[in-house]
Amino acid sequence: MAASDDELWARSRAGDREAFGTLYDRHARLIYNYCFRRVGSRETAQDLLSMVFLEAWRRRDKRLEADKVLPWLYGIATNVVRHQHRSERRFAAALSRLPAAERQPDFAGTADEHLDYERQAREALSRLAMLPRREQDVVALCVGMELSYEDAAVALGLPIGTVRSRLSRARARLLELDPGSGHKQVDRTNAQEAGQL
Amino acid sequence: MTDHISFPPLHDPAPGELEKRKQHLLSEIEQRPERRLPLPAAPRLRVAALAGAAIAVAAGAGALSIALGGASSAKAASLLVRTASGKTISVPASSPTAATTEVVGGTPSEQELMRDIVAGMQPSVIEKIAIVDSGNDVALHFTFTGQSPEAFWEDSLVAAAFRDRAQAAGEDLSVTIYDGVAFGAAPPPGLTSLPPAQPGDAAAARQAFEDAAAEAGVSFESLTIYEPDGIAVAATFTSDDPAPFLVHQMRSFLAALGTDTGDFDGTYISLVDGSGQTVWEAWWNRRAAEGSVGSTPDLAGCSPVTHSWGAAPPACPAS
Repeated sequence: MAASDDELWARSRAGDREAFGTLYDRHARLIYNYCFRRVGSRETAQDLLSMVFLEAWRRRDKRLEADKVLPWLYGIATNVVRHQHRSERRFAAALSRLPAAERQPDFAGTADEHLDYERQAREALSRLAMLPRREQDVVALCVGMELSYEDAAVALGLPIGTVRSRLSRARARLLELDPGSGHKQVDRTNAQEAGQL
Repeated sequence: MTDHISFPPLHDPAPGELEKRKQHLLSEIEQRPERRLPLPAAPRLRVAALAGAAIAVAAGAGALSIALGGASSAKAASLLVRTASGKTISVPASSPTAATTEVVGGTPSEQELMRDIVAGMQPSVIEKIAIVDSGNDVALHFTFTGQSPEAFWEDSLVAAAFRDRAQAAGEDLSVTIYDGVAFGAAPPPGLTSLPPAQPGDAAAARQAFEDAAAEAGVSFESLTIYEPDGIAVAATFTSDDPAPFLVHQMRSFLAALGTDTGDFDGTYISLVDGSGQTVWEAWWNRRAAEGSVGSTPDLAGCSPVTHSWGAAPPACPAS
């Protein structure tokens, strides 16, 4: 029977690289996709993925509640994305040791597909950008990655009620800003000049 | 909700990318040794160990050395500092902190940067910093409330943070330190690129130190978190019986702390005896790749941080 995340994390905490590698196998794809949805670039998301797991290993003294390894990784990913520049500085030396990218054959349709993903991601990011940063995180986790309130709370280090209320406010805000709702986004600069804010 | 934001579908990254990055990850984490003391690999000559005159950082002829003279008894502890020119300076093993740190000289932007760094370095034994410009060469003249081990650690942190933060702002400065002991030392580039402190880092650092102390069964005399750019921590313990404390409790504390200080700008750890005199200290500054370890001569053999330099210390009385 396959080891649970909790067992693998316990072994990782004791310095077991193989167990940490198994956790990577299990969760890297989701973490990559989360990063991709937060930055809209495949190459950047791949580097962020590396940083997330390097940071997780660096913080392997962390004791986690049962069944919370993945939410915790999402939390690290959120911080790595938020402080992307700092994270790049922290792990610059490690990333510099990555083997150079090999030119991959362009399988039929693959390139177009990835371009389409990046276009979709940019559209989603432009919608997310209408929200305050703290609401963006909740939406990206709860809506984008379908985390439960409880897991999002673990990832963001927030009470569950705060996650719920932020998501509710984000929904209301997005509804208000929806082009079909009859409302429109206020341009803060213009509004200030016009004395409306 | 999905009516309002449509995320792209889950997909794989570039072919082979996950596996390539896994192998890279496993390689990287293998390179990080377990539970090691983050001592600098290349201390600069300005700094040396204490431990009488016997232990000194591997410095060549003409290098400076610092000695903590006398035994660990109350009256005798003092620092003896010898400059490259052979001049000897006697300084107390402790000094009061400055009420404020005055910053003078330099350009307005340099002053602003230095004041910001100094704001993250309180309380401090640095009384005044004079910035002297000459093109891209900047000399930092430090004045202290009294020369002490912390003075070297603090000026090293400030100078390295000043250099790195100026560089991050697009100013490639050559920074030199004038502190009354080291006449013109320049902090060498650190071994690693360290990030500025992030929200929560200070609390996490405090927690890491407190956890290590709890694990070792010791409590701090003082614990101060600084933020010159990243995080720096100064911790002091007190013991009426320093020899066994160094052999057992301090060793346990450092082992429990492990690699938790790996990303800190610097760490300063000292032991004060019952009379209030520093009898053992260790500090390191990762941005400048330098540090110092030392003790009174009678306790040199008890140091939990060992060295490969100098003559063999006397046997520890607690061994």
